[in-house]
Amino acid sequence: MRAGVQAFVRAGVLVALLLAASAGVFALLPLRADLTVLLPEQQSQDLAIMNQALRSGPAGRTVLIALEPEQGEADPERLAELSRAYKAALLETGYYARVVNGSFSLDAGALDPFRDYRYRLNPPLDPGDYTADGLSKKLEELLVELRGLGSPVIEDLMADDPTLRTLEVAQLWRDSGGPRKENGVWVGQDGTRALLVALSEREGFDVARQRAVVAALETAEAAVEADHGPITLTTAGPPVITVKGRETVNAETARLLGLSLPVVALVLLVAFYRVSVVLAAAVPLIAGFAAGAAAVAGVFGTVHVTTLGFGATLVGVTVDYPLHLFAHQRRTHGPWATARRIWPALRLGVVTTAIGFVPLVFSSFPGVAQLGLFTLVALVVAALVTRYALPWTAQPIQLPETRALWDRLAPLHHWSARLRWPALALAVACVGLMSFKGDALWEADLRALSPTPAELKATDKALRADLAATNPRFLVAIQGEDAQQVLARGEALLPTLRDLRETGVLAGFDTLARYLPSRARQAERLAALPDRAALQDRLAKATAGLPFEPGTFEAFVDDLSAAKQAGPVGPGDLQHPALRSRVANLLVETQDGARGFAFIRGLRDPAALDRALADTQVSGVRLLDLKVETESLLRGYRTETLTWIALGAVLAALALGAGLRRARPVMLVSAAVAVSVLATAGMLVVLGTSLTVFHLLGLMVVAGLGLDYAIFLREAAESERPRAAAKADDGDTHGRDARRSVVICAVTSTAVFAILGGAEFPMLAQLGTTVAIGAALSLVFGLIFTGRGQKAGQAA
Amino acid sequence: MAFREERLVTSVDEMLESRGRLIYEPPARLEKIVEQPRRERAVVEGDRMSVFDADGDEVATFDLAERPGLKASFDAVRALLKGDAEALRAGFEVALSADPDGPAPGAWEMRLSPKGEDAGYTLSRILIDGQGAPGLSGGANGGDGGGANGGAAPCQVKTIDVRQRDGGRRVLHLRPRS
Repeated sequence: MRAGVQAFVRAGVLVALLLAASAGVFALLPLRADLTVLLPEQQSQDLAIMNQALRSGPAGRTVLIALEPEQGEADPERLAELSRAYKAALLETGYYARVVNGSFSLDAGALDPFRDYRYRLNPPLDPGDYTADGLSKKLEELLVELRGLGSPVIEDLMADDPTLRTLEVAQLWRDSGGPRKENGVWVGQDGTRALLVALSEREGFDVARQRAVVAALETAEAAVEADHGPITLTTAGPPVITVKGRETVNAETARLLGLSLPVVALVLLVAFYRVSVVLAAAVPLIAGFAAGAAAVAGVFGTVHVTTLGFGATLVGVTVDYPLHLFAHQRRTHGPWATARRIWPALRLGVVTTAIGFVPLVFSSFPGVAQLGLFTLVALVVAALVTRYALPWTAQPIQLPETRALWDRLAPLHHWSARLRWPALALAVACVGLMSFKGDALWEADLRALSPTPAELKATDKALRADLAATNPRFLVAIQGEDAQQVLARGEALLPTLRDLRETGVLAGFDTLARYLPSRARQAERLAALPDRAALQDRLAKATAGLPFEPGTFEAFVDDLSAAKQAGPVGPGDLQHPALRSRVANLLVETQDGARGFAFIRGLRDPAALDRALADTQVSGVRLLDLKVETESLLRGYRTETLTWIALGAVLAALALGAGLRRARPVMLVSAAVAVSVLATAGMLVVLGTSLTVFHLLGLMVVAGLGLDYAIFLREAAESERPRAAAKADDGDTHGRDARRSVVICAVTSTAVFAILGGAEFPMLAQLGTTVAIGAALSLVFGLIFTGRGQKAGQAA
Repeated sequence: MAFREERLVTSVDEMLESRGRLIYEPPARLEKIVEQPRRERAVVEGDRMSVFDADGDEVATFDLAERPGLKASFDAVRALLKGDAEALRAGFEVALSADPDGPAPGAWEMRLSPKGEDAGYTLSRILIDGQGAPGLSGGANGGDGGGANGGAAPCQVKTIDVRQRDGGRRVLHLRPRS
């Protein structure tokens, strides 16, 4: 009884200490959740720069919103009403700087950002409007406007800006060019929902703020529902994905743990009848996990959630080590003796697997490098803890006798050796199948790698499709020595792009040159405007016969002269958020100058655009197809990872050779691993899966498991050789123990990874499925390749 | 009902005229359809005014809360058309006087002075000429609070003259459709 209590105390103390240490590590851990860490460092420069634009630009603060009434018809009138009400309610919350629903709001201050630079920004200025005749015509138009419904705004503007230039500039700059409009507001393609885009107040990295920003969406929903009846609100965009993704992470983690922990506990209880074993088995696991996370944080500075997710899956691998210890324990030997006895086999398995992961550490993909380092450290630490700390915990635990049932496995094990040739044939068939599939074998969509749950991604995609403008596939990159050169080059492209739009080659485009003229162009336009004296003179002529009081337009004369004097503005001068948000997505400063983008919508004929761009003879201009770029990125990613994996396999084989020293066992163990991995891959392909990098990493885990199983199963088989049995003190049970150990490990791993296979996160699901299949197959092929069949036994 | 609006802008020496129709949908929706000088339409709902062009596309929206003067005058028009004396008195000091010697019997004149400080900043006063609106006069005088006009046609208002502090004026002449 005392020993039983102690068994709990020792394991409990270690688990508590380790959990505290892990909590400490996690509190300090800088976590990252974006996809960019998964992108290689030496990725295509264009993609990297575009990512920078999308991340630092307002895209990261953008929330996409769709509204539809829950009951009744979604007629345009109703949608417009809901859209306006929601916009007002959302602005009311104070968390959003701008809410755009397609309508042209003239709220106080809405025109201010455009007022200061109205003579310098696009659209082009017609000097004809500032001649005496032109002014006179403009002033007559002004009188009509004053009689119209917009008169309050016109009245505010007229003294400074009688030509109403501010309105023209604002129209262009705030025009989205995007979604379909009904009744003045944006609606989806099929017209059944209203669309809005909101820009949160500022970039919020802290979780609480992000959460408040997202919660405000629901506050606004409730406010609208109070007046207009129930509505269905759909939201997407980075802030929503971050918050909801985090919620899903928490819910999923809880669910997966809630499923897998009892399963592991159940397997261990069935195998050992001791709760304390379950607790003790957690010790190396937690130690390995914490050490892995700490190592990654130390080397890389931050830890990506993907790494942690992957790390968590090591549950299924490192739990094998304590299982080996417990399964090999006998009454006659204490845990220390057992640890010493199994250490050579355990060490060989761990070292070989760890060496297999070493090359990944040097991968140019930060995500893969993190995974490699994490696994390496976690495996080694878990093994060391099993060898040097776990026996202390295991000392007071008294295990029941192993049941005789396990003895029946031995004949089966040895008989299975007959299946070696069929197994090899199966592996060859899998290789054949995969090479037949070629490129179709691989997942082509980068988003399959994203740590975001599939459902959130689908919502995001659907909303972006409705907003049309925001998820372009084609873009023109414009490289220049500085922002001005980029602008000038963009300007040179404008006529070509407009022609292409006219002829229907493309549906639309967006580039900074549309909004902001180059300095040279601005200087030209300012020079064409009259100076103070001339303007006063012309104005006097123009107002003759019109009912304006003398001196009404003094401010106009001042403003125009001031603009003329101040000269052109550059992208850096546009500090107001309404202006900067335009610039930030379309122009990025790079190390070697500046890079601009022209996003192309609805491109029908890429080749025609490419030819037209070449014909312009503007240098530094290139058409990018993001789909092609992404695919080649993924291909590079894959090729590199495959190379590192191959290198890892060679290193692991060398380590195995050094450990086993004889060619035949090395070949048999390697064959068991190789066949397991190939058969797993083949099985995935047969199931219709497109392989991603996470499948590849899963296959590496399979290789690690396969190695471990094969090494222990080989020991079992070897111990049952007639002469070995005579030599060892109790070799009669060693074979049984090793087999039992491997079977328990395989069952645990298969169960845990099968649960992960049902995860909502693509990454975990991919890993889980792969390893679940792989663990089961590793057991089968481990038995087949290590069994001492008649022929094999004679040959050895 | 049809309207003719005259506007006086401080820097313009001429009355700026527009014509059209006003449609009031109780309790809070007011639609102003302008036929001259250019077809356009505004819908005032709550504090929001949306302007639509001749094609029915929304060209602009205003937040009336940011233009207290404009909002106060719309509030007054709505309250008058509805016959809601309480709403009227919530926003304005109301003074009512009848001129027995006036040309038309039963004519009255109402003078609204904005109570709100921000409304008063731009808005000086609103003068209303009307004729024989028992509900309203009762509400304004007696303070029975309800101001319900007991089924009498609410529109007895002839002109609404909105005067701004800067000298601007907006005179709305209403003609009930016969």
